[in-house]
Amino acid sequence: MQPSPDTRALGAFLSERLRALVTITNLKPVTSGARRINALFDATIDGHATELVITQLPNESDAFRSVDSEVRWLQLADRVGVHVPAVIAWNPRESNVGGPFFITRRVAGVSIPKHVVALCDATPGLGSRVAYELGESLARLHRVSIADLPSDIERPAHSAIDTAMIWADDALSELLVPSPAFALVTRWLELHAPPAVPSTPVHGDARNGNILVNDDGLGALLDWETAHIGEPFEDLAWLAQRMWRARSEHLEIGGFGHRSDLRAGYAAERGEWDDQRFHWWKVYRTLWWGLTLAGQARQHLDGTFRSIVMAASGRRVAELEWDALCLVRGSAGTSMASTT
Amino acid sequence: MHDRPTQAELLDIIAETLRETVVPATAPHARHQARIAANLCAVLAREMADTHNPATIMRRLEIALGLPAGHGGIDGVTRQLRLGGAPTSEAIELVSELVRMKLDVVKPGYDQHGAEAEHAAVS
Repeated sequence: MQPSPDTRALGAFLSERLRALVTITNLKPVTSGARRINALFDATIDGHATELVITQLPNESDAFRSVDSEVRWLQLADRVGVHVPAVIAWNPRESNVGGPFFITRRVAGVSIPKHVVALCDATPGLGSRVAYELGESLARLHRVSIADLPSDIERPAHSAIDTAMIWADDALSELLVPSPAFALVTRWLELHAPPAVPSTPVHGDARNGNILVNDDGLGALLDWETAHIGEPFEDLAWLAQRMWRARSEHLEIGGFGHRSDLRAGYAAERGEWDDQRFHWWKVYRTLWWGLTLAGQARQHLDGTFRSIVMAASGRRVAELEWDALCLVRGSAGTSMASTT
Repeated sequence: MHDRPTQAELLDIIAETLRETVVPATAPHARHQARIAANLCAVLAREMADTHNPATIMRRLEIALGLPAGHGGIDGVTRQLRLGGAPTSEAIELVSELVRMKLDVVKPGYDQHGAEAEHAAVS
């Protein structure tokens, strides 16, 4: 765990950047992992009180992407009407405040998945509204032309589906224990791959756990660390994974909403819906997460990242094998013919 | 022959101590890890008592995949599933049975939510 940012240095940074007298109080870390810390704080800017959040990385080399790049994604999302917190300042370099960071306005709401589900359970209509607003937000992001994205964002060499299948086969070959389930699911994906569609910007990790929800609905879509150029249903189907439902299994979207809510919001912002494509990506993202968990266990075992959390991931793989097989078993078009 | 408590009984009390004594007295960043440690002790205790034998299912899977004798095993089965024809219902059921055996150890009850329940969740 990394230390909290230095309050005095943060105040000095904001004073200089905003050309105002800034004092910082009540700095309180809320989530903290190996890679980044989020802390709430109160700022007084030339006498005006405001509530802010700092997201800080331990150092420049540990980040998935630079703070500059994540800020550009946030600003792009804000410009096109996605629910995101407004960025007010950032520093892409290590400094006396600590590692690279960005500061956003605080959006009210809960983000822990079981709290999101509990709030939606207790508030009639809220879960449907959040799913609808997620559909709207993602449609606004997905219709941005990739020509309008910053030039430092990598343009993929292959379609999103080809990239996905290449990744899956690489990950299968690296498994420490062979997985008949994932091999079967990968074959199913290969046989059922839909035709390529034009690439779009995608969030990459839109799910219950990366959203802020309050009494009014969706407060913000957070954590743009893995935003990239891909395919819309990568995002939409990721919301539907069983593991984000916080035991509220019967509600496909995050344990709080229905697919029809998400689809209605997506369509309201001119997003084109395709249930077969949604299903393919739902199967793929389940496989992807299972293979990623196996990779975490491998990183623990080879010493790249020793941690009980990473070790335990290896014993969660069976959950994703089960989920993926359920999705394949329930699919139309599964052949009854011999496999040979 | 060792004395009591047995391995399983010791794992039980380690898990219980972690859950009921260590977790409540631990700082938030370590609490999650202590909880995971308790869960892993419970997994180990179940693994030690596990009586599942996947060999029969593996043999049926080899036959279902048309693998000649001596070309099976988990590597052969996995290769055939990846590179062979479209997955059959029989292959899906047998592979699911193998996964269910693992789930009984790592996450008992997880398989209560199956394909039908997931289909019902889609609306």
